[in-house]
Amino acid sequence: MARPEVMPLGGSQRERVRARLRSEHTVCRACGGVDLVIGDALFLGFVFHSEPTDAYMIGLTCANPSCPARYTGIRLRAREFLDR
Amino acid sequence: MDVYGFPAWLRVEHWINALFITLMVRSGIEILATHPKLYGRDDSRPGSEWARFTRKTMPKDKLYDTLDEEESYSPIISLPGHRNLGMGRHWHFFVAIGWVLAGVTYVALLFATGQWRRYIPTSWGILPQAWHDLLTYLSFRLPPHLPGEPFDALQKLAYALVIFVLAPVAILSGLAQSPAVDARFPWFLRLWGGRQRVRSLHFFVLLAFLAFTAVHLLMLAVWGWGRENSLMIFGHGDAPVGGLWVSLVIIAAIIGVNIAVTVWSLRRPRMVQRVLGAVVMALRRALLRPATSHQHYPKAAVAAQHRVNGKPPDSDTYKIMAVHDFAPWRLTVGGLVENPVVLTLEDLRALNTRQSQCVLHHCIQGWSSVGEWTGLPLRDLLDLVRPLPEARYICFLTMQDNGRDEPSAPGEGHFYEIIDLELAHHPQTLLAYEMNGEPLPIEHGAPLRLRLENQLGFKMAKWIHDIEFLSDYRLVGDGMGGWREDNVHFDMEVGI
Repeated sequence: MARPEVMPLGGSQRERVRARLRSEHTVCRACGGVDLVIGDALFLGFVFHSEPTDAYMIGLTCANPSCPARYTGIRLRAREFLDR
Repeated sequence: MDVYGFPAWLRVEHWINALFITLMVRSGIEILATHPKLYGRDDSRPGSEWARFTRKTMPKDKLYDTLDEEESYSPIISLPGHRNLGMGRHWHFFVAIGWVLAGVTYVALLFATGQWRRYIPTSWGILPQAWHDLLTYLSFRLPPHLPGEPFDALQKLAYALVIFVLAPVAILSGLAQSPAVDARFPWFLRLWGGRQRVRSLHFFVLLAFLAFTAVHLLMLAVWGWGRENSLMIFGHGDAPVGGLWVSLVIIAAIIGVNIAVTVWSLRRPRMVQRVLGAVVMALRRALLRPATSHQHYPKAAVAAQHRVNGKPPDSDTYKIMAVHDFAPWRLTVGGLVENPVVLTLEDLRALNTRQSQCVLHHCIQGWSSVGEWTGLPLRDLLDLVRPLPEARYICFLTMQDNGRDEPSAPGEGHFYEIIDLELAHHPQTLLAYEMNGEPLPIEHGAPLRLRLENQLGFKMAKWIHDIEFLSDYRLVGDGMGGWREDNVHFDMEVGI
């Protein structure tokens, strides 16, 4: 059963997230792995009071099976990855 | 025996009642301040209130919760004022116990002594007479007393209504707001038209008592303050001057008691919580704890929008868990158990027992909502971990850090609540991971929250990540049985 707050990303959206990861040289914080699988997006702006109203968390999963903390994420604003 | 006289017991009861009514009204206003809106429907949908006693407006682009809607009223009208729901409740219930005991004694003595005749009419002829008396008052004249009686017909009817109708309605409409009573006897709540209608009725009772008191004082002034008070203080009307002065002293004393308990509550709330709580909690434990929930609301009653009390954990750890549908989340169950376990959300879902219940949620603030909750009955978790014989309480630790997450709540630290192990055996005590047929929403406690259908909402910890079995709760936090008990002086046992 899918969690209604979580939004699946389309191909172009994933591409923008991937480009962002590359430009920032993002690696897994736990194991340093560079292979991060892009997952879904969670809208943070409404529910979390500290977040800007257009903030999202994009789920990232470290592809390294021996990584001690495979689940991570990156915070992006709507304009940084959503289609216009 | 003079059945229309003013015996000592009647006079003492009168003045005790006057004190109790002032405390009940002021503490009732304090309780109202915490959710200063009244509804006709049990979903308490924002914007659907028929009355509001606040000017606050809520944001549309951010989640707000019912703590943001609370009002802070002046101690002049509320006990103790300054947004102290915990204190208001302690006083309301403590005084209610005294008021009910005094009322039962009063009515028993009325019938034992024949004094009931002063209030209860024995002829329908009193109705046209009372109407005639009303017209007389409206023409600024005084109607005659009934032959040989202390009141005119209108007064007699008014007192009868207050004693035999208004007071019982006050008590019963208060009881009908108890989650334990409503969970055990849902028909009783239906009798009143629902949770929000009975809350509104309770408010009208408050207005009725205020109106009665105002007219009562006006009538005393009209009929002769000194003589009437002489009757109610000395038992005869022969000392109007004494009646005047002593009545002023008694009124000053009532005001003095109100000021004293207000100051005490504002300066030493923990002491008030312990002293009054000891009395009220013992009664609740004996009368309301055994009430098990038998609620089966139809799915059509599920609220389209369920209000929120408490904001979700505003941490990256939590947000990352949420975006991964809580795959990284773990529930640790330990403490005084034979078989401590660590479970994933999938583990919980895979356990054989899965239970759904459509029930009425009672918030301590007064709002309500119907929701369908699905999850693991807590007693099945008990079967899995097997509590040791010395385990008596269960502590639910959550990911919510109040200092960080809830600007509208005073206090710091992670939210936790402790329940008596006995409550875990109730059939509708549930660890819910779904709400209304979908994964439990973030604002309602994802991934796991407690449902405890015969208690008030704040005991149903949300965003749970750790469950500990304890022998004593007094060593946890400030030792009062939960975060709200520690920080805002709520009661631990909240069947009402």
